[in-house]
Amino acid sequence: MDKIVQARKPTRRTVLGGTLGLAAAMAPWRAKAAMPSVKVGAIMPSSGVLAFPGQACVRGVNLGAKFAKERFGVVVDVVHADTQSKPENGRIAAEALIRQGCTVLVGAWDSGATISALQAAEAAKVPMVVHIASATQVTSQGFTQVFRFYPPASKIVRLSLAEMKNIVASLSDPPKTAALLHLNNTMGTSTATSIDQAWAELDMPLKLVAHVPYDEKARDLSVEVAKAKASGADTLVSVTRVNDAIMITRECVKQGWSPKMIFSPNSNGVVDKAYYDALGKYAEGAMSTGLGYNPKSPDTKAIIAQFQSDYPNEWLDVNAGCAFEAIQIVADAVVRAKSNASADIHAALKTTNMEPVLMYSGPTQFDSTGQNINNRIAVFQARGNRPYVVGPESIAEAKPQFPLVPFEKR
Amino acid sequence: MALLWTNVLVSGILMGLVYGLIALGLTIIFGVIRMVNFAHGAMVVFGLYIGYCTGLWWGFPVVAAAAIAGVVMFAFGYLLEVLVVKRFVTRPHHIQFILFIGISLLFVGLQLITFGPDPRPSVSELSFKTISIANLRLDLARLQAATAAAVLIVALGAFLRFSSFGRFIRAAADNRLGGLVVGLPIPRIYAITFGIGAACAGIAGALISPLFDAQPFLAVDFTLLAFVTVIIGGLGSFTGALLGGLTIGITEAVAALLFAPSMKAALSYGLLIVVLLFRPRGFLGAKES
Repeated sequence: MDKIVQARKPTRRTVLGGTLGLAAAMAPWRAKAAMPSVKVGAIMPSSGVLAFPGQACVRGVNLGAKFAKERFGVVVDVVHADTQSKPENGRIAAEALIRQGCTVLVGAWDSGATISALQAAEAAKVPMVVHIASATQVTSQGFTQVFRFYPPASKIVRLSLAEMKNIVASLSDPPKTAALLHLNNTMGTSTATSIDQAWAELDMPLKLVAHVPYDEKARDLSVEVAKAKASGADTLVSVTRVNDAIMITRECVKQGWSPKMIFSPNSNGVVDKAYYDALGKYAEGAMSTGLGYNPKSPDTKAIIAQFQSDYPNEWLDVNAGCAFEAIQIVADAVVRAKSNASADIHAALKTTNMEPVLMYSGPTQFDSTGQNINNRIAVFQARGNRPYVVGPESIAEAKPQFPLVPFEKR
Repeated sequence: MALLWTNVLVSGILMGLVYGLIALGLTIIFGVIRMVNFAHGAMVVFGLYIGYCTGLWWGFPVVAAAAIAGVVMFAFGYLLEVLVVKRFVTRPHHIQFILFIGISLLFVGLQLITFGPDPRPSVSELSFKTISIANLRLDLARLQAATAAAVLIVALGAFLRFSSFGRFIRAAADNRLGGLVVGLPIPRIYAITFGIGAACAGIAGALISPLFDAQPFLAVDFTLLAFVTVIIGGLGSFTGALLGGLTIGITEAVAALLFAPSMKAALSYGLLIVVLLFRPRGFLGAKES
């Protein structure tokens, strides 16, 4: 009897075994009960020459994570990484984030940095949702882990020029010639090439009379603007970031060149707060195209209110908006995958079919190259210190103004 | 076409004078203390922020901002020399380089913490102003900065030539040991010279604030630009700095017009290589004894 009692006496081994057994039995229940979570690596140019849009993207990601928790019930644990606006740092940032356990990446705004980050994502088989980056090469190089929400430059340009053609066709005294001023980086060159192609294909009613590329870090654009002015063009088509958009307008004012129309496909400037802060009355009337939030979407008002409460001095611009949307795409994939493993998220992203929460676009669906196939673009015009959506008509807040009031008469 | 060329050349000359202004502070510090100030660009950016803030908060004109920047940066440079730099005057060059790179990174970090990474464009109306002479359009902000560069050079030259302290500075620049032997206050001379160099950087920054958006990351660009300018013009020479600036300004303008605008930087660095190959001391630099 004593022997039996002794045999049943708990030992360290039985206690340890019992605890492990209990933990194993409880584990599925715990996993089911807890909110699903995912560790997302956000790669943005938070410092350097692209810090302005990069910081906007960081704000969009943070707001997106907050929103995704309420909407999808997914805890998005964001780890931020900074490319310092250097394309080659995309890969370094991606590798660091993957080492930290991120199972999906978001980024990287700049096409060069995005391609560089995708190389690391490809090697580690970690999916990457590209919120902004328009170079064609992002989805044309055979990457299997890329899911790009943003349209390629060629598509934006084609849609933009079609809108421009509509606007020009509606004018009684339309412009006749255009000068193209563009950045000579990956995005700028890719967009300029697309403009050349689409210009001929769409049979644009204006003649392109000058091409003037310029360096991203240019300190002075006086000669570039002088060349464009000397071409005799009455329209300025520019492909810019914010800083150079400001420099170009300043030079136009100083050199007394008032084009009838300033149109910037796939560009920053008109959609950015800094543009209005720097140019004041000289900002008025310039147009740009790109993605924008849908003012008529059911969640837009609440999202903008939340953004303004979190960041009272900032705008919810296209950078923040696309970053926000990318996080929703990830959250949707995690919910459908019922897992936060990279392979499962990748499989779920491939079958994404969701209405955008904030941005103006058709349902988000990725083709075999990872490109969102239902993008739409909006046309913005600078009016009274903020951009107004002036096209397409279904979401327009105002009608486009034409021609521009000459700078010297403002 | 002739009008385009004239406008572009004049614009290049004015921009060149602005470059010369940016390089002045670097050349005076090297000329006297024989230290290469890698934090020069960060000091110019401090001046840019002073120009930006005084314009935004109090609506000060650029010239007033430049005066404030000059005083503030002189005091700052003086203190920096007394507290840190003077301990490195006799140390090997590579240690001095690391010191100034460290100081530069510290300054950029401070600017980032204070102002953030966003570019801060000037709110001054001067950013949009030009004056017309016949068919020429002259950028007023550049004209003002170019005039200031000329005035500063003349004033500094007169100070060094005609004041007794200026003679002390020249003597210290010529022969530090000899100066110490005859009882010159070398530590004070160095501190004041460093202050003057920092003041020149600050004044340049404030004067160019209508031309460049204030942003911490410009520091590296300005340091590099100042280096190229003084190496082409001749290290330690004021007139050389101005000449170097003019050469770069005109080269950039001509390159942009003649070839492609994206060739601007390539051609000015190409020129630097040519100068280093055939006249390593620059246009007006002194021969090494």
